[in-house]
Amino acid sequence: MPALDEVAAPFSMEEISQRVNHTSYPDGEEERQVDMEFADALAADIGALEFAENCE
Amino acid sequence: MDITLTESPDGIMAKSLDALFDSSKILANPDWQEDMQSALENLAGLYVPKVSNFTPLDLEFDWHAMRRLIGRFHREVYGVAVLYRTLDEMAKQGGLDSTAANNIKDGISTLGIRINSPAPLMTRRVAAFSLWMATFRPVRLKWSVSKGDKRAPFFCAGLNFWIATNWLRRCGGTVNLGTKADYQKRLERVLHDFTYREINLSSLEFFYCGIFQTAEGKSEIAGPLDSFASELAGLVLPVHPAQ
Repeated sequence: MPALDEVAAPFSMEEISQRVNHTSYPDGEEERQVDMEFADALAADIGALEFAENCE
Repeated sequence: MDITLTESPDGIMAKSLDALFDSSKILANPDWQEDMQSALENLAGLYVPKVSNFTPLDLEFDWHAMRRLIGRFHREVYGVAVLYRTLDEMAKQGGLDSTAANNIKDGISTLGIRINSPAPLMTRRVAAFSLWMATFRPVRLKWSVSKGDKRAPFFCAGLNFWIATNWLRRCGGTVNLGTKADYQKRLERVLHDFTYREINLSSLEFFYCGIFQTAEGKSEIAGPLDSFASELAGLVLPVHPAQ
Protein backbone atom coordinates (compact mmCIF):
# COMPACT_ATOMS: atom_id res chain seq x y z
CA MET A 1 0.00 0.00 0.00
CA PRO A 2 1.61 3.28 -1.01
CA ALA A 3 1.89 6.07 1.47
CA LEU A 4 -0.87 8.63 1.37
CA ASP A 5 1.36 11.43 0.16
CA GLU A 6 2.62 9.29 -2.73
CA VAL A 7 -0.87 8.56 -3.96
CA ALA A 8 -2.16 12.06 -3.40
CA ALA A 9 0.69 13.76 -5.25
CA PRO A 10 -0.88 16.19 -7.69
CA PHE A 11 -0.22 16.01 -11.40
CA SER A 12 1.26 18.82 -13.41
CA MET A 13 -0.26 19.69 -16.78
CA GLU A 14 2.66 17.94 -18.47
CA GLU A 15 1.90 14.79 -16.52
CA ILE A 16 -1.78 15.05 -17.29
CA SER A 17 -1.18 15.29 -21.02
CA GLN A 18 1.17 12.30 -20.91
CA ARG A 19 -0.87 10.24 -18.52
CA VAL A 20 -2.42 6.97 -19.55
CA ASN A 21 -5.67 6.68 -17.66
CA HIS A 22 -4.77 3.31 -16.15
CA THR A 23 -5.99 1.75 -19.35
CA SER A 24 -4.41 1.80 -22.76
CA TYR A 25 -5.97 4.69 -24.62
CA PRO A 26 -4.04 7.91 -24.18
CA ASP A 27 -5.53 11.20 -25.25
CA GLY A 28 -4.52 12.65 -28.55
CA GLU A 29 -3.45 9.38 -30.09
CA GLU A 30 -3.67 10.25 -33.76
CA GLU A 31 -3.37 6.82 -35.31
CA ARG A 32 -6.63 5.51 -33.90
CA GLN A 33 -9.38 5.60 -36.47
CA VAL A 34 -13.11 5.80 -36.06
CA ASP A 35 -14.70 2.38 -36.50
CA MET A 36 -17.30 3.24 -39.14
CA GLU A 37 -18.47 -0.35 -39.31
CA PHE A 38 -19.35 -0.22 -35.63
CA ALA A 39 -20.94 3.23 -36.04
CA ASP A 40 -23.07 2.12 -38.98
CA ALA A 41 -24.14 -1.15 -37.37
CA LEU A 42 -25.14 0.49 -34.10
CA ALA A 43 -27.10 3.21 -35.87
CA ALA A 44 -28.86 0.59 -38.00
CA ASP A 45 -29.76 -1.39 -34.88
CA ILE A 46 -31.09 1.71 -33.16
CA GLY A 47 -33.07 2.59 -36.27
CA ALA A 48 -34.54 -0.89 -36.44
CA LEU A 49 -35.80 -0.90 -32.86
CA GLU A 50 -39.52 -1.30 -32.50
CA PHE A 51 -40.66 0.06 -29.20
CA ALA A 52 -43.12 -1.99 -27.27
CA GLU A 53 -46.08 -0.02 -25.95
CA ASN A 54 -45.23 -0.93 -22.38
CA CYS A 55 -41.76 0.58 -22.72
CA GLU A 56 -43.36 3.99 -22.46
CA MET B 1 -13.65 23.33 -35.91
CA ASP B 2 -11.77 23.34 -39.16
CA ILE B 3 -13.45 20.75 -41.38
CA THR B 4 -13.04 21.00 -45.13
CA LEU B 5 -15.75 20.11 -47.63
CA THR B 6 -13.67 17.22 -48.92
CA GLU B 7 -13.27 15.62 -45.50
CA SER B 8 -14.48 12.01 -45.37
CA PRO B 9 -17.28 11.05 -42.96
CA ASP B 10 -14.86 9.13 -40.73
CA GLY B 11 -12.52 12.12 -40.73
CA ILE B 12 -15.36 14.42 -39.68
CA MET B 13 -16.45 11.92 -37.07
CA ALA B 14 -12.93 11.54 -35.66
CA LYS B 15 -12.47 15.30 -35.36
CA SER B 16 -15.90 15.75 -33.86
CA LEU B 17 -15.42 13.02 -31.25
CA ASP B 18 -12.01 14.44 -30.35
CA ALA B 19 -13.53 17.91 -29.97
CA LEU B 20 -15.82 16.49 -27.29
CA PHE B 21 -13.66 14.00 -25.43
CA ASP B 22 -9.94 14.40 -26.13
CA SER B 23 -8.76 16.51 -23.20
CA SER B 24 -5.29 17.19 -24.60
CA LYS B 25 -6.89 18.90 -27.59
CA ILE B 26 -9.72 20.54 -25.70
CA LEU B 27 -7.48 22.08 -23.05
CA ALA B 28 -5.23 23.56 -25.75
CA ASN B 29 -8.16 24.96 -27.73
CA PRO B 30 -9.42 28.47 -26.89
CA ASP B 31 -12.43 27.88 -29.16
CA TRP B 32 -13.53 24.69 -27.39
CA GLN B 33 -17.11 25.94 -26.95
CA GLU B 34 -17.69 26.68 -30.62
CA ASP B 35 -15.91 23.48 -31.62
CA MET B 36 -17.97 21.31 -29.28
CA GLN B 37 -21.10 22.87 -30.74
CA SER B 38 -19.92 22.20 -34.30
CA ALA B 39 -18.96 18.67 -33.27
CA LEU B 40 -22.44 17.92 -31.97
CA GLU B 41 -23.98 19.43 -35.08
CA ASN B 42 -21.70 17.34 -37.32
CA LEU B 43 -22.35 14.14 -35.39
CA ALA B 44 -26.11 14.67 -35.49
CA GLY B 45 -25.84 15.24 -39.25
CA LEU B 46 -23.83 12.06 -39.72
CA TYR B 47 -26.15 10.04 -37.48
CA VAL B 48 -29.54 10.97 -38.88
CA PRO B 49 -29.31 9.28 -42.31
CA LYS B 50 -27.75 6.17 -40.74
CA VAL B 51 -30.64 5.70 -38.34
CA SER B 52 -33.59 6.80 -40.44
CA ASN B 53 -34.86 8.07 -43.78
CA PHE B 54 -34.49 11.62 -42.57
CA THR B 55 -31.73 14.01 -43.60
CA PRO B 56 -29.71 16.63 -41.73
CA LEU B 57 -32.19 19.23 -43.05
CA ASP B 58 -34.89 17.55 -40.93
CA LEU B 59 -33.01 18.30 -37.72
CA GLU B 60 -33.87 21.06 -35.30
CA PHE B 61 -31.35 22.35 -32.76
CA ASP B 62 -32.02 24.14 -29.51
CA TRP B 63 -28.89 26.28 -29.38
CA HIS B 64 -29.53 27.56 -25.88
CA ALA B 65 -29.81 24.01 -24.60
CA MET B 66 -26.73 23.08 -26.62
CA ARG B 67 -24.65 25.79 -24.93
CA ARG B 68 -25.91 24.79 -21.47
CA LEU B 69 -25.06 21.15 -22.20
CA ILE B 70 -21.59 22.05 -23.43
CA GLY B 71 -20.92 24.31 -20.46
CA ARG B 72 -22.04 21.79 -17.84
CA PHE B 73 -20.22 18.92 -19.54
CA HIS B 74 -16.96 20.86 -19.90
CA ARG B 75 -17.11 22.13 -16.33
CA GLU B 76 -17.77 18.65 -15.00
CA VAL B 77 -15.13 16.75 -16.99
CA TYR B 78 -12.42 19.32 -17.70
CA GLY B 79 -12.95 21.85 -14.88
CA VAL B 80 -10.34 20.37 -12.54
CA ALA B 81 -7.77 20.17 -15.35
CA VAL B 82 -8.40 23.84 -16.17
CA LEU B 83 -7.88 24.73 -12.51
CA TYR B 84 -4.64 22.69 -12.41
CA ARG B 85 -3.43 24.54 -15.49
CA THR B 86 -4.24 27.92 -13.93
CA LEU B 87 -2.37 26.96 -10.75
CA ASP B 88 0.62 25.71 -12.77
CA GLU B 89 0.73 28.92 -14.80
CA MET B 90 0.51 31.05 -11.67
CA ALA B 91 3.31 29.05 -10.05
CA LYS B 92 5.44 29.33 -13.18
CA GLN B 93 4.98 33.09 -13.35
CA GLY B 94 5.78 33.52 -9.66
CA GLY B 95 2.28 34.65 -8.74
CA LEU B 96 1.81 31.64 -6.48
CA ASP B 97 4.22 29.52 -4.49
CA SER B 98 4.45 26.03 -6.00
CA THR B 99 3.87 24.43 -2.58
CA ALA B 100 0.69 26.47 -2.19
CA ALA B 101 -0.38 25.43 -5.69
CA ASN B 102 0.12 21.78 -4.79
CA ASN B 103 -1.76 22.22 -1.53
CA ILE B 104 -4.71 23.67 -3.43
CA LYS B 105 -4.61 20.70 -5.82
CA ASP B 106 -4.61 18.33 -2.85
CA GLY B 107 -7.54 20.22 -1.40
CA ILE B 108 -9.71 19.56 -4.42
CA SER B 109 -10.21 15.95 -3.35
CA THR B 110 -11.68 17.16 -0.04
CA LEU B 111 -14.44 19.07 -1.81
CA GLY B 112 -17.73 17.59 -2.94
CA ILE B 113 -16.85 17.67 -6.62
CA ARG B 114 -18.23 14.69 -8.50
CA ILE B 115 -15.27 14.39 -10.85
CA ASN B 116 -12.21 15.63 -9.04
CA SER B 117 -9.49 14.18 -11.27
CA PRO B 118 -7.67 16.27 -13.90
CA ALA B 119 -7.72 13.21 -16.18
CA PRO B 120 -11.04 11.39 -15.73
CA LEU B 121 -11.51 7.86 -17.04
CA MET B 122 -13.02 7.63 -20.51
CA THR B 123 -16.12 5.88 -19.19
CA ARG B 124 -16.61 8.72 -16.73
CA ARG B 125 -16.31 11.29 -19.52
CA VAL B 126 -18.97 9.62 -21.60
CA ALA B 127 -21.17 9.19 -18.53
CA ALA B 128 -21.03 12.95 -17.94
CA PHE B 129 -21.73 13.58 -21.61
CA SER B 130 -24.75 11.27 -21.61
CA LEU B 131 -26.06 12.80 -18.41
CA TRP B 132 -26.07 16.36 -19.74
CA MET B 133 -27.15 15.34 -23.22
CA ALA B 134 -30.13 13.50 -21.71
CA THR B 135 -30.88 16.50 -19.49
CA PHE B 136 -30.88 19.19 -22.18
CA ARG B 137 -31.72 17.10 -25.27
CA PRO B 138 -30.65 19.82 -27.74
CA VAL B 139 -31.40 17.96 -31.00
CA ARG B 140 -34.69 16.65 -32.38
CA LEU B 141 -36.42 15.82 -35.61
CA LYS B 142 -38.75 18.52 -36.88
CA TRP B 143 -42.35 17.88 -35.92
CA SER B 144 -43.54 18.60 -39.46
CA VAL B 145 -41.62 15.65 -40.87
CA SER B 146 -41.62 13.21 -37.96
CA LYS B 147 -45.11 13.39 -36.41
CA GLY B 148 -46.53 9.91 -36.15
CA ASP B 149 -43.07 8.31 -36.17
CA LYS B 150 -42.86 6.33 -32.94
CA ARG B 151 -39.09 6.46 -32.95
CA ALA B 152 -38.81 10.22 -33.31
CA PRO B 153 -39.10 11.01 -29.57
CA PHE B 154 -36.02 8.86 -28.97
CA PHE B 155 -33.84 10.51 -31.59
CA CYS B 156 -31.69 12.51 -29.20
CA ALA B 157 -31.30 9.55 -26.85
CA GLY B 158 -30.06 7.39 -29.72
CA LEU B 159 -27.66 10.09 -30.84
CA ASN B 160 -26.45 10.46 -27.26
CA PHE B 161 -25.65 6.76 -26.90
CA TRP B 162 -24.21 6.55 -30.40
CA ILE B 163 -21.75 9.38 -29.75
CA ALA B 164 -20.72 8.01 -26.36
CA THR B 165 -20.12 4.46 -27.56
CA ASN B 166 -18.34 5.57 -30.71
CA TRP B 167 -15.87 7.49 -28.58
CA LEU B 168 -15.31 4.42 -26.39
CA ARG B 169 -14.84 2.35 -29.54
CA ARG B 170 -12.35 4.91 -30.83
CA CYS B 171 -10.42 4.45 -27.57
CA GLY B 172 -9.86 0.79 -28.46
CA GLY B 173 -11.45 -2.32 -27.03
CA THR B 174 -15.08 -3.24 -27.54
CA VAL B 175 -18.54 -2.15 -26.50
CA ASN B 176 -20.51 -5.25 -25.64
CA LEU B 177 -24.25 -5.18 -25.04
CA GLY B 178 -24.63 -8.95 -24.83
CA THR B 179 -26.49 -11.53 -26.89
CA LYS B 180 -28.82 -10.43 -29.69
CA ALA B 181 -31.92 -10.53 -27.52
CA ASP B 182 -30.22 -8.78 -24.60
CA TYR B 183 -28.64 -6.30 -26.97
CA GLN B 184 -31.97 -5.20 -28.38
CA LYS B 185 -33.59 -4.98 -24.99
CA ARG B 186 -30.70 -2.96 -23.60
CA LEU B 187 -30.75 -0.57 -26.54
CA GLU B 188 -34.46 -0.15 -25.97
CA ARG B 189 -33.88 0.57 -22.29
CA VAL B 190 -31.10 3.03 -23.04
CA LEU B 191 -33.25 5.02 -25.44
CA HIS B 192 -36.19 4.98 -23.07
CA ASP B 193 -34.19 5.90 -19.98
CA PHE B 194 -32.21 8.63 -21.76
CA THR B 195 -35.53 10.13 -22.83
CA TYR B 196 -37.90 9.71 -19.92
CA ARG B 197 -36.16 8.66 -16.74
CA GLU B 198 -34.11 10.44 -14.11
CA ILE B 199 -30.55 9.25 -14.53
CA ASN B 200 -27.41 10.21 -12.68
CA LEU B 201 -23.68 10.22 -13.21
CA SER B 202 -22.82 7.18 -11.12
CA SER B 203 -25.46 4.94 -12.69
CA LEU B 204 -24.31 5.95 -16.17
CA GLU B 205 -20.69 5.43 -15.28
CA PHE B 206 -21.45 1.99 -13.93
CA PHE B 207 -23.38 1.19 -17.08
CA TYR B 208 -20.59 2.29 -19.42
CA CYS B 209 -17.98 0.46 -17.34
CA GLY B 210 -20.15 -2.64 -17.65
CA ILE B 211 -20.38 -2.59 -21.44
CA PHE B 212 -16.90 -1.31 -22.30
CA GLN B 213 -13.98 -3.68 -22.42
CA THR B 214 -10.46 -2.61 -23.22
CA ALA B 215 -8.36 -4.40 -25.81
CA GLU B 216 -6.88 -6.53 -23.03
CA GLY B 217 -10.34 -7.93 -22.29
CA LYS B 218 -10.78 -6.18 -18.98
CA SER B 219 -13.36 -3.54 -18.26
CA GLU B 220 -12.26 -0.40 -16.48
CA ILE B 221 -13.63 -1.65 -13.18
CA ALA B 222 -13.32 -5.43 -13.11
CA GLY B 223 -11.66 -8.42 -14.71
CA PRO B 224 -13.26 -11.55 -16.20
CA LEU B 225 -15.59 -13.57 -14.00
CA ASP B 226 -13.24 -16.48 -13.39
CA SER B 227 -10.66 -14.25 -11.79
CA PHE B 228 -13.10 -11.74 -10.35
CA ALA B 229 -13.20 -13.16 -6.82
CA SER B 230 -9.44 -13.37 -6.50
CA GLU B 231 -9.07 -9.89 -7.90
CA LEU B 232 -11.58 -8.57 -5.39
CA ALA B 233 -9.63 -10.25 -2.59
CA GLY B 234 -6.41 -8.67 -3.73
CA LEU B 235 -7.87 -5.32 -4.66
CA VAL B 236 -5.96 -2.30 -3.45
CA LEU B 237 -8.40 0.56 -3.53
CA PRO B 238 -6.94 3.88 -4.58
CA VAL B 239 -7.03 6.64 -2.02
CA HIS B 240 -8.61 8.84 -4.68
CA PRO B 241 -10.94 6.51 -6.58
CA ALA B 242 -12.42 9.38 -8.55
CA GLN B 243 -10.48 9.41 -11.78
